[in-house]
Amino acid sequence: MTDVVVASPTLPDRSVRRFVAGAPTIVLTGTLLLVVLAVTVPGIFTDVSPTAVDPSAALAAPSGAHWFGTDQLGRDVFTRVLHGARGSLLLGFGTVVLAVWIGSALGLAAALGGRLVDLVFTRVMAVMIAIPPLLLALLVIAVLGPGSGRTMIAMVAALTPLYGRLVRAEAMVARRSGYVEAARALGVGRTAVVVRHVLPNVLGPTLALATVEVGSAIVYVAGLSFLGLGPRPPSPQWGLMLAEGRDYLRSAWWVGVCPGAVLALTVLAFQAAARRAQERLARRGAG
Amino acid sequence: MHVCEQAPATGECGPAPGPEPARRRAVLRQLLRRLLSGAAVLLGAVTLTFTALQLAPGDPVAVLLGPGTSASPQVRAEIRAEYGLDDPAPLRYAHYLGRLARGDLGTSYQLQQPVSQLIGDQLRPTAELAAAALALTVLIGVVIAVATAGRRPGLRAAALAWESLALSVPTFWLGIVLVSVFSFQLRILPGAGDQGAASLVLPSLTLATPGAGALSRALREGLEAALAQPFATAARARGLSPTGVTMRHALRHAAASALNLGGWLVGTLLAGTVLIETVFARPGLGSLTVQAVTDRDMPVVMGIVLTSALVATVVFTIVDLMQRVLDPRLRVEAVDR
Amino acid sequence: MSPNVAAAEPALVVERLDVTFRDGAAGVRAVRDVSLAVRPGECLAVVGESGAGKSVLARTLIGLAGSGATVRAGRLQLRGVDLAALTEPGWRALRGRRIGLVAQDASASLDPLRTVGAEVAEPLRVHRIVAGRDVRKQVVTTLGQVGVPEPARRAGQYPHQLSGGLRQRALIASTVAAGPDLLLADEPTTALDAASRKRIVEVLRGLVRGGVALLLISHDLTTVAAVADRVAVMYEGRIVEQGPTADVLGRPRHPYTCALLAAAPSRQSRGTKLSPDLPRRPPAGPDGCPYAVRCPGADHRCREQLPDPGHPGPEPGVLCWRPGTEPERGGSGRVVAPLRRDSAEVLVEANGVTRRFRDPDGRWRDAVRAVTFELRAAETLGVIGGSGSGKTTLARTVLGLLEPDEGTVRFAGAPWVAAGSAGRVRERDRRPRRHRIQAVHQDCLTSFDPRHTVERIVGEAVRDPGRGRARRDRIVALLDQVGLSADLLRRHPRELSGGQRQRLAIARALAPSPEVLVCDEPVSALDLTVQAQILDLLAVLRHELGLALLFISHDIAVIRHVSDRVLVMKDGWVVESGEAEQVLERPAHPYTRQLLAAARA
Repeated sequence: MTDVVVASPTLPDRSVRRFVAGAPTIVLTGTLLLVVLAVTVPGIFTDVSPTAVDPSAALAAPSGAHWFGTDQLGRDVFTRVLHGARGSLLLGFGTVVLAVWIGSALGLAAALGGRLVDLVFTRVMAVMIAIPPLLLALLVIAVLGPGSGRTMIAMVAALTPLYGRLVRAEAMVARRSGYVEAARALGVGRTAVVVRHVLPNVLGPTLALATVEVGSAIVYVAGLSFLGLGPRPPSPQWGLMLAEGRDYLRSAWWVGVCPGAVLALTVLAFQAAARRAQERLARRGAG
Repeated sequence: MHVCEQAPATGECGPAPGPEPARRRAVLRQLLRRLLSGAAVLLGAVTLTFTALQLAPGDPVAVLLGPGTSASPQVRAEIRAEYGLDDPAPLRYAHYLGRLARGDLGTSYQLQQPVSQLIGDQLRPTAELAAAALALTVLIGVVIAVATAGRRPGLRAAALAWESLALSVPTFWLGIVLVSVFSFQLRILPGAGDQGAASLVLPSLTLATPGAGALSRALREGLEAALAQPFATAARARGLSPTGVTMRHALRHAAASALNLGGWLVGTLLAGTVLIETVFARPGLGSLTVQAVTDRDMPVVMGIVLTSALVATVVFTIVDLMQRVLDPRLRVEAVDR
Repeated sequence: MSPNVAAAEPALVVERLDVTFRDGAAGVRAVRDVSLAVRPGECLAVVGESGAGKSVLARTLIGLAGSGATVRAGRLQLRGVDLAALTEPGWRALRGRRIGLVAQDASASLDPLRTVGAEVAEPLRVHRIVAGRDVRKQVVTTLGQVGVPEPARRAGQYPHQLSGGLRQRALIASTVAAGPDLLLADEPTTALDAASRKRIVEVLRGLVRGGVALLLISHDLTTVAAVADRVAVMYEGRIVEQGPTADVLGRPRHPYTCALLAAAPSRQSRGTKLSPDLPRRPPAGPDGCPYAVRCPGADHRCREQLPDPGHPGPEPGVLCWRPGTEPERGGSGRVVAPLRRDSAEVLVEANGVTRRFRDPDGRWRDAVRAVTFELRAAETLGVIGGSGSGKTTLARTVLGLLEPDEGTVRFAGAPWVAAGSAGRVRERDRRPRRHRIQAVHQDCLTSFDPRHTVERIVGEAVRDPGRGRARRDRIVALLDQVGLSADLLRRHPRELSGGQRQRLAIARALAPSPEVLVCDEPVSALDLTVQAQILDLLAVLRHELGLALLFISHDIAVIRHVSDRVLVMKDGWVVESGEAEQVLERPAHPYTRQLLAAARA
């Protein structure tokens, strides 16, 4: 008798696949580490001052001496990008941390409070969701005026609805879950149910979203300063560099393109980290 | 031993089919409820902008007069009276509502023109840009999702990488790169201004990128989820090809879930024009917004925020109704088992 | 099986079929050395527990084993077509037209966004069986053939608008519309209540009479007995016994078949043990009998070698060296000494309990209507009824998780839950007494916090658990009581098997030393063998701890096995109640009679 092989798929070598899949992760993790280093000690990469003006070297193309070239005043773009990291990242982080706290508090109150609290919350959130975050931030800036602290307030106002809605939805799911009912049937008190079962199950998805949103918050902040409505100079801001670079695009593309590339890589790195976290969560949730 | 006499004896059918008029009434009621909640959202947005106006520090009169102008207290009082600035807040709110109901969004502090007229003048270029970007978003998103869902790992990885890139690359930077390459290096497309279709290519492509990434991710995930369902296997077992299953079954499921993005997408496109119009030096609502925020010209800012909320609410409502068309389980109906 | 069928050429011939899945470096052999044949107008049933390879077998026979599967076969033929040589387009031409698959779980196997008619029309259109304008007519005819009432109207409806039984019939219609020679039906009756099951059985019988070759996959022996001409018993990918239905089910020869049949609760099983004892036995070698670990008769040869054509076993069709070995059941096999005393204290007393729910269309529906009963200490009250009869709502009300709209429930003589009009009982007053009444659910996985380990889950339920060593010992003792090993302490519930999860749920319920256990369909999601183990466990615990059980099930055989008294529910009403024997042997209400008749189908 001869055996017939009906279907036998061939799979590429596992180690090769794992390496190819791992390469972007390595690049993005590296970027994240570099950016964090730049935030804490920008001086270790460069000893040039970000504000050192050198008119003789204005708008020099990228070279060994100036990795990202120089701008219209002869300042080293690479140095300015490194020093700009601090302002951009801290604002991004600060915004998300505040928005997560406020959003979670409101969302939990809505889910666990009463029907009235929930009704007010959902109505207000529906209004805030109907206005795109950037416009909401611009509205706040129009009221308060530009500036670092005010940008943060504007951003928090724009991003809070996201967490509020997520936390409310997750807390509702947990509250109606079989395990909360089981705990009730055991005679576990209300507070203990929230602390032991609801909060830990809400935390995971919220943190995963927060990780993505650090990236988005950095982009929003950069966007606002690009429009000239963010934190004010002289603090080096990535968005501001892009805006200045836009005016010299014809003759010196690097002034705008290089800071933007670093910004894009940073956001990508946060996205990748968030995706990891979400995949881990999904695996844990799967039966 | 106890036997209940009042209970129905046998029969597998539950309650009788509901009468048709009852069902129509239920549909109408649901539609009405949806419209009302949309109206509530709009009223909320109006209240929000009104509150913002009240919170705005500084003297509106000073803004109205412009910097460096000195005016006598008498003139100031006249202006205050003319704009109703001394009335109590509830009265001003009522007046504000009344004017909005007549389509009057107020007058720009800076430009001394009716806000509705300003918005109307700037609407065309922005609407063109947003419409072109929306079309590109849907085209790119759908093509990439259908081409890569459930296919070989390499193809999927490429799609995933493109989605991540599209979602994280800041549009204003992407715009700068595109201008730099296509306008200044290759010189094939205009990088600024609003002259004809060619000037629309780069801005709309830039504006479409993040939405296209989000849409293709949502659609692809929706397709893959649907293809993993037992009904997809059942359809294969009836002799359908994998492509047939995607087109006849899975795509509809994916569309139903991707529709959720609709409201977000339109909002993002609208807000995105603020940045894109600055990058490409185009006239439009976005440029108007930046100018108004810079000048703290509150009536214009409020007018734009309200317009955007109106558009978003209309889109949300349409999406909601379309979902009912796509998914029969969401429709109201009399129980009929 | 009529004589002329026996003479007919087989529609399907399978010889030495092997299906292997790639899983890491090693392959998993889901189907091993399977040979079978089905003739036109004949039904072959494949029975066995989940994970035995039944579903993989069905999917392989329609060419949908999946991309990770390697299929090898000596012979794989359908009416002269060599299936083993088919390419994907070749398979596609056969699927739906010559071979139909009724997949498991009808509610998920019909596309929820398309009408039932569109699904039934699909094979007609794909294979161009009838002209476009005749498709609708054919769809209606097919729906009528499988017993869907008002087929023309039903064709325009969506799956969610149909009841479970109708959905299953519509799914069958979509697989037989193109008139296939071979029908593969994977657990077609499992999720259904007795009445719907009976109708599906009639539909399947009708199809077989019409000349279809039916391969029926099921672990429901009632359905198998009613439909199948021959039965093949699968264990760990192999067919261990094959023969005419009456022989295999009536005089089982393979030890596994014997144990499987003994596990089914029956009219005589009340008070006896259903599952065999499982003393630790040495595992078999790679070529040995996979059942040797569980088999009381296993010897050295069993662990080394299986019978094969070169070394046939003593009985043809039975893959065993020592056929006829009966499972061991400690002592006399009796576990439950009658415990009940009529004088016992009344623990739960429900009085006129009514609970309404609002349907999505806004209409109010009474889930439970004026239900009155009492549960005494140490007795088991069985609640039986079809789906939607209000059983679960009643359970949640008795547990004090749902407040009734009318009526009261008293627990151990004091108010427990009550409608607003009857003086509400506050949760704060209930909490100190909650430990005395505990629950075991059907879908127990959702009742565990996904982030908690087994240790935390049981630990939370223990009253005054103490600390460190003492707490750990208490938890281990509880796990031991339900037959779980202490190795599982650090595991998460999703890492456990279905039977282990149910045991964990029971351990948690026992932790606070309750007097009443409310069991809502505790064995419905389980295999027959595991069901037997859980029922035995509950019986032993009840005996040792003197628990009172409110036992809810849609399965009459299970209810008969466990109950002292019975409530029969329909549409929220209790239509009949009384001593189990009296209600189930001499039913007074027509609905009870109908249920019993359906269960006997």
